[in-house]
Amino acid sequence: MTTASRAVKNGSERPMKSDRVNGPQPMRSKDSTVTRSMLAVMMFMVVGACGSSGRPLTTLNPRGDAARIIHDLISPVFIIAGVVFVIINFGVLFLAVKFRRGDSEEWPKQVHGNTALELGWTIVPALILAGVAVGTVTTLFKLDDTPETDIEVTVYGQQWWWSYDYDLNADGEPDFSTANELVIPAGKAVSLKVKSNDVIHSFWIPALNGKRDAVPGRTHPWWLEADEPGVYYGQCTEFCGLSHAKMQMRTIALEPAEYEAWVANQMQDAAIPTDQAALRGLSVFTQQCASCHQIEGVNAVDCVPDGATNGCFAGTAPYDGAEVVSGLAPNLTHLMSRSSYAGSIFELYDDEPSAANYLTKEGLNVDRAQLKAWIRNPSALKPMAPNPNEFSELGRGMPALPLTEDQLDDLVTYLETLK
Amino acid sequence: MAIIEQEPLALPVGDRPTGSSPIGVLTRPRTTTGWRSWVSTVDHKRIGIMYGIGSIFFFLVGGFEALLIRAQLATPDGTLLSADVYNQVYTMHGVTMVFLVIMPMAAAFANYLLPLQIGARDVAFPRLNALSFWIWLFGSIFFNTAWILGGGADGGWFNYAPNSGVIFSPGHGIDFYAVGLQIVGIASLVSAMNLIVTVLNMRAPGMGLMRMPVFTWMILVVQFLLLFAVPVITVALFLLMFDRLFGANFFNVSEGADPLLWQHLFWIFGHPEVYILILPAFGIVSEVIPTFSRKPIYGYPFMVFSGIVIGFMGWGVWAHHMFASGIGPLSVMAFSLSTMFIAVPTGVKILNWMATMWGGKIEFNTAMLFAVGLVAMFTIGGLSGVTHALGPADTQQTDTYYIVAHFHYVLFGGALLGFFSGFFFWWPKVFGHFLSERLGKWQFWASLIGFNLTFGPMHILGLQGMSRRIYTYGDDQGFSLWNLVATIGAFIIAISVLIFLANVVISYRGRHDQPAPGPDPWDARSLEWMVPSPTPEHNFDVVPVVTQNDEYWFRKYQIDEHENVTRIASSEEAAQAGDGTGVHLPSPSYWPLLVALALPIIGYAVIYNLWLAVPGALLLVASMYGWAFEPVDDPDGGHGAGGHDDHGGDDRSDSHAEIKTEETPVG
Repeated sequence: MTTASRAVKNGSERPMKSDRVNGPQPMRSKDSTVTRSMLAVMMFMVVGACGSSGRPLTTLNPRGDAARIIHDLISPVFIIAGVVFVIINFGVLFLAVKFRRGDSEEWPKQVHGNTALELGWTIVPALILAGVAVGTVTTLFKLDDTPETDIEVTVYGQQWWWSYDYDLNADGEPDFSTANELVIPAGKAVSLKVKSNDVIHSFWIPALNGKRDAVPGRTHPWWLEADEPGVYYGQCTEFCGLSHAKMQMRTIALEPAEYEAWVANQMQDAAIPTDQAALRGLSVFTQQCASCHQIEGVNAVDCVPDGATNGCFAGTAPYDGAEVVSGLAPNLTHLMSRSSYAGSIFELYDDEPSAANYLTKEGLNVDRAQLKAWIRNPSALKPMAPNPNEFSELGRGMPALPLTEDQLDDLVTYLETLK
Repeated sequence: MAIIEQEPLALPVGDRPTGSSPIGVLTRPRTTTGWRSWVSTVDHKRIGIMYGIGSIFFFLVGGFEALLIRAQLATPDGTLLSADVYNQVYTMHGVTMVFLVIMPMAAAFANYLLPLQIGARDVAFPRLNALSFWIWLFGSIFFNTAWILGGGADGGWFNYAPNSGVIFSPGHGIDFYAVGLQIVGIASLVSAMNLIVTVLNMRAPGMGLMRMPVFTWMILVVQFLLLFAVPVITVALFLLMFDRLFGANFFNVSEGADPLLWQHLFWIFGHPEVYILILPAFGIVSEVIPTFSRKPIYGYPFMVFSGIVIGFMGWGVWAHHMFASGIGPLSVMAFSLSTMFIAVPTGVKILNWMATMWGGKIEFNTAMLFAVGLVAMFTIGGLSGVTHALGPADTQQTDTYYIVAHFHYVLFGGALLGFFSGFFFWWPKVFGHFLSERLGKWQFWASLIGFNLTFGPMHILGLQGMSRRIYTYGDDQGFSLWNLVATIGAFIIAISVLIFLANVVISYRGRHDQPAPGPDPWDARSLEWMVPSPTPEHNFDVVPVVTQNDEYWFRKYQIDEHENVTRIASSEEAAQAGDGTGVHLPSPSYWPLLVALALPIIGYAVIYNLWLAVPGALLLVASMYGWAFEPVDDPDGGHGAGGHDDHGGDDRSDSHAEIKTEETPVG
């Protein structure tokens, strides 16, 4: 900038000509103003980076053993990197200022090099890195060593949501299946097997651990541990198509006693409701939803009782000619026991439950309007196909179903019974 | 562009025009119109200029795509781009910047300068050189026609399977990726072989390998990297193409494939690729910094060997892109270690550039500003790279904006700043006039500020959990402020690019208002400064005999026993006059363009209808036949720009009987 203003001060109207006539002007602006403003920007950014409130996905605030192991490794390395940054960048500034040519016509001493110096600054960084390498290798094997635990969850990624099959009695069979939210007991490690049902996804709860890819055809062991009860947010972090951005998840850590109560509830089948509106909704479910969504105890029902006629609602599951192929969509057996849906991008309740009232949902009301909006036209709210009415043969993504507003109302009423 | 008739250059020797101004030549009165001389050229300098123009054009395309991305992400829940369009834009942005901007920009510099720096008149295979350019150009255009033929590729620049398969990506976008990059890859492979043979066989007498400029060395290492890396991605793309278009199952999990195969193949290419992207810029600043510090490059052997070591070690780090992919702790450990140690030779270069500046007499013109900018900015990118080298830490960082910050610091702050340095440095040699220093400095500061505003905050965004490749984010995630800042920075970068374009035009228009640069406006060190500016078509009047590194500098200066530097000749005295009498040059040819044209035709055939491959193959075979059997010289002698000798030369740039070299070594 100094050069430009100098050129103007010369009164020249043809900056280029004065530029060439006077010769390219040496820069003088690497002075304390620039240095001070660079420092200010850096401090601002460092401070900005450190704050974590309102940043649910931050990696800088470990809340569990695994994340802490990583944080303990990377923190000193960030500092080393910061020191090197300062040395090199301020070094460059220093050199730029100190060795300016100015008006000198001299040639400086034509130094070609110094072998000892070269070897020195090859070996010293190598030694520093070797030190870091030791820390890296020990951390790596510590992280890879899943702690002993009897809680084993198979995590499935599929376009564009996460599901969890819990195997708590170690018999190799899932005891129950849930979606979007992985519920774990606080203070206890949970062993994960990360898999995919279609393309590569990546399971990541930053506060609790690094990420692990979900690759179809492979099973990747991983683990989580949360020190305290709380809600820990996650994001799919391997590009997986249209709704990669909208494929989120949560890990809810509960007090151990509450976790046991949660498990007991998840093991139960859903009850057939008695309320007529809910029953109407159930019949809608069996006709429209059961081909993708599973509700334990319901998909097998062959008569949804109709209080008005004392018979069965027409077309109850399994409806004529259709195979029940549930599993393509989240298991809804205990939908209302969760806090989010549709890839954890929508809240089920008008206020997000904390870990404290997660089990009871006390004082919270279901956000019916949002749920209805989702069911009415899912592709309008979450990109699932370029053309909303076109889905691949895999049936991924939720289609818009031909429901009347009354049916939608009843369906949501039914879903509200799935506690 | 209007064709403006101009006076032929007034020349000091002879009555036949021998200098060539690349812009003036478009207007040189000939029996054929100017554009034909460009499409038939085999002159490495013109090919270099065409690569430069092409890469700058695609830089604008990729830059526009970047602005779309930033505009979409400026605010939470942005609605400018749908998810589908966003996925295409970010994919095309990445592929464009890597394959259609940085690689050809390096090729522009390499093609123009490498023969000059080694004292040669052209490359070993001039028609093959033209072929590389036309293949690259047609492949790049072919790839971009996806936009109007159903949509661009949308699987990301590294395009992981199985999302890249036809089930999950049913449109043709990824077909254009697979076929287009195979085509463009051929260009790189051909060029690599050409330049390797050139360096190994066509150096001036006395120019041992350790007397070549660092830029030439870096280009040589890059050509070897290309030679071995491009076939790997070609295999990957070939397999993908067969999966998508012909029902193969290489990446079909239900038939037993492992998707990690794609990742391994891609990254075995992809990692050497990033050294392919950065080493040319390293070479450029290794010329610029010594010139404007008035000192030789510090530690020349270490600069050369660190480049070679980076070239070798670059093959052993690829799976650091896969630390979260489930490759197992032993692999993660091995690649963590190798990745950490590759920082050592890179750090050696940074320190050597700084040591070159130490004790120097530094002039901060635009070229030097950009070069020093590279040293500072690349260091930041390199340091964040070291933090990702730690496998466990990378499981937090990978696939977040922290990685996006890293690679933009090394590619924009590294490669691109290096290229702009090179533009300002070599522009007078190529075009015979300077770029405006005033506009150059405005561009530098705007790009430095804009670039840091754009990508600096991305470190924070990544560490705060913002995932890559997301078309939008919520307002409750804490990403809003820095995304807005980044978008503002991106538009400042755009302004800096506009300043550069304005500079090109304004400098061209005002070129008669400034003194001519002469052969050596910067009092530089290497052989390209020994010839007039713009470079005569024949390069050297006589092939120089080289006795040491920085040969040209030692013809102007000598160092006495007290290590004082005294001048022994002016730049002009030590430079050559530009008289091309008796020099014969390779003849132009249309066949390379025609061979190249066949490839996209076959490409469309593979994607749409195999019958189209018949005319494509016919064109290919016929053009190869024409190439092989075309006469060596135009019997009427009216081919190309002046300076060609009529007596039958062949396509080798120097046949033994005709090389004119200097009689005795100078100095």
